[in-house]
Order: sequence, then C-alpha cells, then structure tokens
Amino acid sequence: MNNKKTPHSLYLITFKDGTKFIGGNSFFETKWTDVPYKEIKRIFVRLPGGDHLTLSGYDKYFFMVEATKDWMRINVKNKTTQKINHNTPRLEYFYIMGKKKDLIVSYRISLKAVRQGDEYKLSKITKNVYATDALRIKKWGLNKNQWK
Amino acid sequence: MSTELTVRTNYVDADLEYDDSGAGYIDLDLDNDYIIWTKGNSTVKDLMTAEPTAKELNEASSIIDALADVDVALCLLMDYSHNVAGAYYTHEVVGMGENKQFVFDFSFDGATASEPQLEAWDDSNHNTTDTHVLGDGTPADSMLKAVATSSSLPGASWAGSPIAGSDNVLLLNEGNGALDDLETGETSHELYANIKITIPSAYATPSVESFLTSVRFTWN
Repeated sequence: MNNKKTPHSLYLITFKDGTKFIGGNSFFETKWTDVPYKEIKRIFVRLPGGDHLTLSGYDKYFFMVEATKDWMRINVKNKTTQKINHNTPRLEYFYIMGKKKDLIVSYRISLKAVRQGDEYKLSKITKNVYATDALRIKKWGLNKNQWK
Repeated sequence: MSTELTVRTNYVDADLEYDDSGAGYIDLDLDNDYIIWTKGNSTVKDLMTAEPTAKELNEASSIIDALADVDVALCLLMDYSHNVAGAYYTHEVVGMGENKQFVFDFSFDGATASEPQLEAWDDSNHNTTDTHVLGDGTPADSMLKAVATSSSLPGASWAGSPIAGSDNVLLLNEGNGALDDLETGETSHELYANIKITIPSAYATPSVESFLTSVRFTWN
C-alpha cells in the first residue's frame, strides 16, 4: 500500500462531553470509521500546507477521501507516451461535510496536481451547500453509517 | 483503512460470478495490462502467443458501416505477464456486448463512503473527452456504452449509457449508494458491468485512438 502520510493528524475532534479524538495521519488511514458516535462540538481539519478549517454547530459530520484508479488503457501500443502508475489509487480530493436539518455544507479540498514528493500542497477548496435531497447528494449515495 | 479496488475480466463463462468461479477471472495488472477493442482476425484473436504489433492491430480494426451502427466485435485483455492458462498474451473478455451479466468485475475489499462510478477520459489528466470514441467533445455522444449488471442481466440488445467525462458516468452499484461494511465471512464486494463500443453508422472520421476508463471511489 502506498501510504502517503502527512506530518500531522488529518483532523481533531472535540466532543461535547469534553473528550477528544485524533484522526489518522494518512489519507489511506484516516481513522474516521473509529470515531465514536457521540455529539461533536467541533472538528479542526488540518489542510495540506498547514492551514486549517474548523467546523462546528452541525448535527452530523462526514469525512471522506476520493480517489481514482485508471484501469483500462485502450490499444496502448498506439500511444506509448501514456504511461502512469495505475495500480495505486490516485488521491483526488478529501471532503469534510456538516449536516444541519435539511442542508449539507461540503468543503472539497483538492489534492490532485499538488503532490510534491510524499506531501500534498493545498491548491483549492470548494464550498458547496446542498439540500439533503439534492441530485448531487443522491448521486453520491453517501454511506449513512459514517455520519458522526 | 482505505478501501482497495481490484479490476477483473471474465475469460471463461460470463454466466458465472466471481464468487462461484474465481478461476474464470483475471486480475488486471494496471501498470502493464491493457484492453484491445478490435474486429479481430486470424492474427489478432483470443490466446495469442505474442503481444500484437501496432501494424497487426491496425489490420484488425473495425470497419465503419455506411448504413448501420457497428458494435466492436471483440474485446481482448492484453495480459503482459502471460501466465494465465498457458503462455498467452491475449484473453477474450467473454460476454462483452452480449446479454451477459458477469463480464467486468470491480472488487472492493471493504466499505466505501459513496457509490463508486465508472468514468472515461482522453488521458490520465481526467479533464478532456475530445477523442472521437468519447464523443469528440460531446460526452453524450460517446461510443463507449456501459451498463451496471450486479443484480441482473443487461437485456437483449442492451443500449447502455454513454460514458465520457464527469457527467456521463455509470454508477456501479446501480444507484444503490455506498458499499456497506463487509459482513462476517465476506472478503469483498463484487460489482459487475458490461461495456461495449458502438460506432455510429457513416461516422465521418476513422481513427485509431487511445483513451482510458477510470473508477472513482471513496473511503472514510
């Protein structure tokens, strides 16, 4: 496994009961599935490059990493220049989302094209607000068990 | 832990899923293996004992028909390691384009955060679909057609959805959302699709093109 690590944990969660949870330090080992199901007061997300993003005031939160795997090169004999590392998933984005009532606020942080060595440099953050029944949300089909 | 994806093609019997006939599937080495879409001939065929040359591939190309759409007849996995069932470099992807369910297998070793999807692009930059096969800049016109088949056969003469770019994608779990945690005893989720290339009748621009497909997937 290509285990690209960041120097610090990806996120830090403070719960309303005063306890804390430290996220993983690799996009391949985020530890989000280990986050206990209890009320979250605040999530501090460390961004590539050292800045941070803080989310609070939502009912539920969702963290995910998005990758692609190119698997079908076509008639590659005719285009020998197209040679990339396919066996390792290519990280594209990570997302932190907050849900409150019928709205989902999504922050998409781009990871592609910013990798330098084993680290990722921040290139772009995109904020979107969706209704929970929006087409984008339906197409995502987010794992309902991972809203924390 | 991230979720891993393995892509397989069926080379024996497209009526049998991976769980029932794992030996009938080949795991793709994504660094070296590739797919050949061709009309095929006496040289470019199933069970070749050498990698086909560019000249041989050109001679086996599909021919545009003036009056009718043409489904590319043969899909071959070019197996660089040539170590499956003998020293063969090519293996026909059985059931491609037919009313068959278990043809291309996308195997995930755990849960996903959202629904995996199949995409197609000109190259690994994932930002253009200007090749003719992918619609010549109009993704809805893509000649690459796909249908998700995990739960059922695609149907006789299935049309499929055009695949190109970020909007014309195939939801591999048939719109049922993210993959759940594996149940006790399970080692993977298998999602299936059938894929074909249909060349429109009298298409004006013959060409030899390279493009790629990609699976976009997520984990928590």
